[in-house]
Amino acid sequence: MIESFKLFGIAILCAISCVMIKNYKNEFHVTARISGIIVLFGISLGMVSPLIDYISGLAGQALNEEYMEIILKTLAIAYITQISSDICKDCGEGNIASGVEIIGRLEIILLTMPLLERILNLAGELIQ
Amino acid sequence: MIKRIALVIIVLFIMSLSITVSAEEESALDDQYYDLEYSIPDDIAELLPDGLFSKNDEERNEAIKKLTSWEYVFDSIFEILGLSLRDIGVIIGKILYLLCMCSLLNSLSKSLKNGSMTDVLGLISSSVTAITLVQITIPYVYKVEELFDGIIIFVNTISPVICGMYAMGGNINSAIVNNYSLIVFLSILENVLIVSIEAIMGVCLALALASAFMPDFDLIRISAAIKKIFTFFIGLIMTVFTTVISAQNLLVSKADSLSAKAAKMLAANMIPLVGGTVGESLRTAGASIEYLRSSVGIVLLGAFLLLVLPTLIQVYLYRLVLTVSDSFAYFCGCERQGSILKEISSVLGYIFAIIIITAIALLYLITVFAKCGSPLG
Repeated sequence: MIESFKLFGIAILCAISCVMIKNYKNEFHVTARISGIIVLFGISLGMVSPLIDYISGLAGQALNEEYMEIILKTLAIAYITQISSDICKDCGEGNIASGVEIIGRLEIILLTMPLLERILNLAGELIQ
Repeated sequence: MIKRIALVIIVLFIMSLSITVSAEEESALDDQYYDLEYSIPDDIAELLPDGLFSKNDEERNEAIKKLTSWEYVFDSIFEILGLSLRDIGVIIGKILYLLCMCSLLNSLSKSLKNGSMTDVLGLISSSVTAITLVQITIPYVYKVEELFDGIIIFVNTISPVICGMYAMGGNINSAIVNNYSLIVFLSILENVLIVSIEAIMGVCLALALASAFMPDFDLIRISAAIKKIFTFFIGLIMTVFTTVISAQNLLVSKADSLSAKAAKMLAANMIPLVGGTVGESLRTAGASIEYLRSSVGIVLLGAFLLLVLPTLIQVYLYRLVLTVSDSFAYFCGCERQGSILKEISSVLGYIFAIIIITAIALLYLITVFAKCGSPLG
């Protein structure tokens, strides 16, 4: 819980710093924002690591490793896409943000191709 | 004088036409009965009481009495249940892990602002669930196919036994009718039931897989309609089959009874001195054949129940697990996964119904055989 308070404190400090930098040096404002996001993202990766291990443990009992890999990669791509898209929108670049989202979706579709192939093969075997 | 000589010749001639129960017929029937032991799978044969196929009459009778005792029946059911619960425990664990993982993923994906990303993650988790569940279900499909193959072998083995015992007791017409009934039953089993089960299971499981990947299309309604239509037609076919069998058996048993009574009357009146004794001895033979027939019928019923029960219990338990998991899925907020579980549970319900219909039809045939009275009596 104390860790959470620390993180909230860091996030609030980053936000205040960004506002102050925006008032004094507007050109460094985006850099400061991206740095704050990277710091928070890095800390959250450390927190998410035991969660991923826990989910892998749960899934290992029931699922193929290949499927688990697809799920975790898809989750990671989804989060990275969202963060990147939000940064672009904050910078006022809505078109770039849309492009980032499209790329993220295409990545996920490419990742799920083996899953789709497996479903079609299984359905074909069942019908035969 | 000539009349007396002719009478003596006639009496001697009639006495030479003595009806003997030939050793060859008896040994051929015994062999057919003992062949039953080899048509039953080893794991089922282990559950049967010892001495059931013994050549010693006392040992065999004791084993038959044990087969019909409540203690034996419950012991067998609990033994089959115990073996099934181990496998079911593993499946429960897998499904619960799967649902917990899906629930976690759904929660994580809901934190994404982008709705399409959330949908894609939901799609992936439901596809993975569908593939895993279908892979767990496929061994049960093979078990059901093995069961029906086993039933075919069982029917092919018991057919000569049943028909032979009908003929032995004087029910010649019943033997012909029931032989034909068993052939018709086998035809229905091979050409209708087995084919429909394979088709329905394949199509419905494929639709369940597809619905996981295309949630906007309500494919589950199509599979529900297919199952309803097939269940109705199979129920209709088996109802007609059992009705026709009942009517035919009623008719031919009366015909056999009439022929036997006529033969007894002829024997009693035409055979001098010993005609009445012949009639009484035929009655005793008829009673002993009825006892033998009911004993063999009980053995057939017991063996058939032990053949069908393991698969029936396993399918039912798996269906129960899916039904409970479906409720748990809705509780965890995994509606898509819940609908897949419900669909697979429904397919298993169809399979369960078909097995029950088949079992009831064959049990009816065996019971008619066991209860059939000898016209000699």
